[in-house]
Amino acid sequence: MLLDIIQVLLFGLTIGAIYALVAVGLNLIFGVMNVLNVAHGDIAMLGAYLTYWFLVLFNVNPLISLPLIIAIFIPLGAAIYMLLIRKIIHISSSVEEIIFSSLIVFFGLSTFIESSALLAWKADFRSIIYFEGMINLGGILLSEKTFIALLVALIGVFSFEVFLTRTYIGKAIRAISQNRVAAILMGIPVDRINMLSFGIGISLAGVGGVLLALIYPIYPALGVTWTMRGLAVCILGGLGSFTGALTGAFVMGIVESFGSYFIGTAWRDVICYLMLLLVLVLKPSGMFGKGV
Amino acid sequence: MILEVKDAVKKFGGILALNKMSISMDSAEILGLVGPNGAGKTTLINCISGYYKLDSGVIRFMDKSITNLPAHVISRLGIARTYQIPRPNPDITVLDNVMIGALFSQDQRNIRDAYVVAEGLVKLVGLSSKRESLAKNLTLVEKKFLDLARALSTNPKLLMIDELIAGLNPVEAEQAINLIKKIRYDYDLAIIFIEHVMSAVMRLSDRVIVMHEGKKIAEGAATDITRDEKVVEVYLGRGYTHA
Amino acid sequence: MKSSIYSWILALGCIVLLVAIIPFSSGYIQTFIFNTLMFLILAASWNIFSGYSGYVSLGHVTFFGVGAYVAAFLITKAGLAPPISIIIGGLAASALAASIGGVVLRLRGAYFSIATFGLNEVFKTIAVNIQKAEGTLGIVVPPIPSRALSCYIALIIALITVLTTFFMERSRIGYALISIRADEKVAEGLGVNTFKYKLIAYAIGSFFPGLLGGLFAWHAAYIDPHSVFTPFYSFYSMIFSIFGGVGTVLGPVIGTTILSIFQELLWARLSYLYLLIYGAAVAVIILYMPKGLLGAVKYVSSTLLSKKVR
Repeated sequence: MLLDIIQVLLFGLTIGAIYALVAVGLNLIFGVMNVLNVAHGDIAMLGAYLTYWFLVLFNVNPLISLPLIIAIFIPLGAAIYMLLIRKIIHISSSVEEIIFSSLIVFFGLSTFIESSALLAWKADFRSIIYFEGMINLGGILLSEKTFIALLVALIGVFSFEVFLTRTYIGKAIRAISQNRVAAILMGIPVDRINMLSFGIGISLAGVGGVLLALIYPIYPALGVTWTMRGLAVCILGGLGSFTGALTGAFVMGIVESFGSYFIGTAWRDVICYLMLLLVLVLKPSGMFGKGV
Repeated sequence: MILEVKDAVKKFGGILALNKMSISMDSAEILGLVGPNGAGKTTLINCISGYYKLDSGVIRFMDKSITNLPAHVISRLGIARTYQIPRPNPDITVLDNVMIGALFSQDQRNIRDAYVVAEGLVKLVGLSSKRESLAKNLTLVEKKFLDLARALSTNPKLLMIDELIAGLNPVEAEQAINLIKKIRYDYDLAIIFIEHVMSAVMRLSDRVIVMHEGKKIAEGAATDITRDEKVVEVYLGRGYTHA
Repeated sequence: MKSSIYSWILALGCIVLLVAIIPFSSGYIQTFIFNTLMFLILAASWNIFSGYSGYVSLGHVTFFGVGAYVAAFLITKAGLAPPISIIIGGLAASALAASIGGVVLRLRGAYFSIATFGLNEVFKTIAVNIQKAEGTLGIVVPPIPSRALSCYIALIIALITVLTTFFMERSRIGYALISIRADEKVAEGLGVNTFKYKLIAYAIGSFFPGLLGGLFAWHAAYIDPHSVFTPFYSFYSMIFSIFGGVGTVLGPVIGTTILSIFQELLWARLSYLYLLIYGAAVAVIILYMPKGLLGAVKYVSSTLLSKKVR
């Protein structure tokens, strides 16, 4: 029984760590630009599919795919920023308008991505068959893929934290999140940092998608499910707060894991949504957040 | 007793906007509310109208407690206010704007009756020629008067006016002052009247309260107030414009 | 907000035309008409609440799916006649809106949108679990006798939806919603019980997609979670309304008609690409034409017509 619990806990931590990657990216984009990227999960889904095709077509180890995904998504993010976000910011006369417009525009992007995926790859489930071994940690059996996902996710989150706190760009990002006007007055190149932040944000989503694909089978409609997870986690932790996104992610991961264990995996999405509603009704600013 | 505010406290983060503020109105008078910027005048109005909730303190209106009631309920009980920066509904006509208060503050009004009321009010504030114009096409002065008409459309017993005269040229200011006098006599309303233009305050108010840093620092007839030491000190050489 | 007598005559003419040609059209045309009417109902019903109040619902399809499933169950398990099942499906959707609205309508702007977005996921999951319990992938429903009948029923629902919008716009509810859209707190200060009116409009707006869902189940003879709870329909509802002009009676009608024809032409040549173009089109519409086609037309005509100098 205890062994079971530890296993469930470890799995919850793994899922939590992956959610952390996705949520941190979403949170970054919101914190810096006030854009609610409702297509975030769809981009994660893209990362997952890319990894799948790299594996199936070119026999590329999913771990090797990771830097490839990042290399593709950063410029992709920059492109989306230049085409869409800049214009949204330009025509909006208030922060609320940016949030609202981005909701709608990115909903469109989400539809665009999902329909493209359906068109290209059909709705069938795909699985990444790799790392199929089992690891034995003193009596606790963990699948190799879960273990690797956990490691990579933790490394990813940790590196991002270091990036935020130790590098110039990271500090610039935090400055802009706290007070955009002051940041502009201080000479921080907000436009360029925005662009980079969006690229980094969706790269994190892409990586998250890859890791999720290691564990679960994927299909295009998952994009929306993952977006909801990311949003729920961010709102739970508090939109705009990095600590919040982290904490919220692990809470969500563990609740989901235990929930699946006791009630069954079928109700995962419902649990997630109920948590979201609870937070929105009781304390919309979440655990650490400054709120919308 | 029309209005009684006792020890109202309102904080915004670290800022204490209302620091145990108390006022009372026993009759349908015009009460001038003055004080330097940031004194808490608009916050007080916001709390009375239910736009904000008090952190502590009590507000009573017509012998009923209205502390922390929802804004629309307070509006139905008979309290209306205008906004420092007018906030009409920009994409609909002047007439439609005024109809909203008429339709909702008194439950029974159907569209036809509300229309009649709205027309009357639009005429009262002198906007008849612009009744079909979209609110966003009005000048600032016209928007202020529209705001006033909207407030009146709710058939209030207490009207709170937030800086109507400031920003008007002398001719417009005279119109506004006469309008308020007319409203007061036609409708027998109690009026709280925030204003920076001292001459208007002198002419209209039966009584004046001076606020500073969330507190009442002086109260009395307009002429006495201007001689009060504390008030002069707080304004520190601030003159007044002639209307 | 007042339509001239000419647009009424035009509208009546179109309806008469439709009624006349439906039975004589090929299956292809009938399917096209049905699909267009379907999108029209989705868009116009979304507009009733979201278009007028400014609260953007991203989960409109939830009520379509709920209506579909309730009706399908009533037809297959309870043996109820389809028309009755469809109506009950619509009422169920409305009831759901009223109850979930009690929670979700207390949320501001973006939070409301996110909550509606997730709502669909929840019901999709519930439907999937129902299917799992049943051991089937979807529900098979005895089909409607003729496609022409589907078209007629859809036409009736569409008419009712548009007429409801028309009367609502001129009623207290309409005034309440518009004041909410402009500035909710000011509206409350004027005596508008914003929560009550949002709830009423949300429930009304959800009735029609519910009806439509039931009709769809009867028409398609088969429903499954992914087809009736697809976010694409929420997206269509929104974009067709915005394109034609939110907060107007005819906006969704015009938007849907034009885009549906456009879509049909594209599909014939470019199969599926229209969705991609739509996604891109949202960006264009939001960023360059926030008031939609009707707004753009009004702007042009008012600029041309008024030569007054301010």
